[in-house]
Amino acid sequence: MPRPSDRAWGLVVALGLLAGPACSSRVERQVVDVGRHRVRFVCPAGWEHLDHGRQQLFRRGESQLSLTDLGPATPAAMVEELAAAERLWRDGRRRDAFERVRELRAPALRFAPSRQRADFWKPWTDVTYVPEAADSAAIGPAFAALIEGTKVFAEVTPEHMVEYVVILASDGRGREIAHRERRTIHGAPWIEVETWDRVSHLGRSRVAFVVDRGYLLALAIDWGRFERTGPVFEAVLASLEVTADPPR
Amino acid sequence: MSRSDPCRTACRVALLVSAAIVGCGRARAPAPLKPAETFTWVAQPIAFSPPPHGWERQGDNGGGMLGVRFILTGGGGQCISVGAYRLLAERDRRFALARLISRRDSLSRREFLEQLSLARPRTEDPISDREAATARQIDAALDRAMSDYLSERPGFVTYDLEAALKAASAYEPTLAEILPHVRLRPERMQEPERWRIAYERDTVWAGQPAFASDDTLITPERPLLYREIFWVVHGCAFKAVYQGMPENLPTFHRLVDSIRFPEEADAAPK
Repeated sequence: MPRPSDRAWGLVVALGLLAGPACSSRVERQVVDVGRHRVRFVCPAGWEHLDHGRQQLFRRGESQLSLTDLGPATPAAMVEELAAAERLWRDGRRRDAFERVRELRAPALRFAPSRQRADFWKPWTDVTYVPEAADSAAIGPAFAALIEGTKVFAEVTPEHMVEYVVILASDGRGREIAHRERRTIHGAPWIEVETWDRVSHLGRSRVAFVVDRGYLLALAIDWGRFERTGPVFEAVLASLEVTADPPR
Repeated sequence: MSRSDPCRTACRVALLVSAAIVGCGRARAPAPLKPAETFTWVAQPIAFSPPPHGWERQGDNGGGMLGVRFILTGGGGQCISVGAYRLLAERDRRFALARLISRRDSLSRREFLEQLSLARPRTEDPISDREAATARQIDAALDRAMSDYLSERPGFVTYDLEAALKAASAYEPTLAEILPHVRLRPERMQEPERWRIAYERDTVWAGQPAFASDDTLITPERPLLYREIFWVVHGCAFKAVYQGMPENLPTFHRLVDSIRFPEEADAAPK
């Protein structure tokens, strides 16, 4: 596997990122909120940074990396999401609340048996089948039932967590895991996964993720030649620092 | 100067000349193959070391196969390919039946009946009488499972599914059964006159029984060696093919020598 040389190139790029700006001024570490996470990072020299809130994009020509809040990773975080949706509803923002519930996704939900998933959603869909006609008196108990329903999900295995992130990061395309490793970056326990096309082992790509206070944060190569994006991915990952401060 | 000096000098010169000749004549060491990779095209993984730089890789997903092809850059059509017979592997219903049994309790009625129909074996064009008999047994057990399911007799459904799995597990196709369907037959090719069958033999390669054939492909530009090796490992069929000039044949042989068929657990992602 040509990984050591990739790592070496990544270090070279990382040094370049640090040393380049250092010649003229101090290294600019940016602080952004990525959904539920607040992170510090060094933007790769020559790459454009776009702040889309839950997703931060790094682009250069035909290459793109993304840093994304992939949502709840644990049942406790699912409860937080549902509680936040309930607050929206109580504030009178019914459509936003319903949309937030509709968008709820988590590894426990993804890998649960279909019957368990159906049982989880039933109290909610029974009440909100026609959202405009949903009875306000029934919505509160439906939220409570959803929150109670999160207790039935089994603990997510590390293998399922990796599979979940790879599926989300690769947009459902059939990818095979070529290599994975644990790395501690600025004190945070990241898992880095390299994937490739299952048939040919071409089209290498990488995604790295960390579970931060129950929520998933993932850095991924979206597109571009791996020879170009691989070292930049490594440099951005090495610079990423998930802070303990809550997002603004 | 002693009398032996001219003789010694001549000997030294002869040694130097012969050393130089040997040095110049020594063949350059072939470029090493790339690090081994494990491919999971079918249930049985296959591992091998891809050819060195200069052989461009392409995925191969056609003709009922999944595999990878390495084309020699500027080689005028010379290539090495390794692949698995996906369609043949899909005739094996063990995995589908085992998954249906394990997920049965979590499937809705519609899902269960759908999965039951997907677990049925293919009965058309059997590869052998043994396979046809196995398919009939599985089919009969699944018929009973459907009937018992619709009659709400879950205990019988479990028994029927186990019987289907047992029937499926009792059969694994062999190289002898699969070979007639996969070996090169010029009359089945688009231009039969281009193929010359030469030397065919049963052998052992990569620690497994194999069938190898050394044939020739007549192309408009030049004749090319056409070598095929077939294996069937745990019921999964594989093929390695070389199409090219004699000077690159050693690269194919080195790749074939690197082939291994690891157990599934050994092939899990690192």
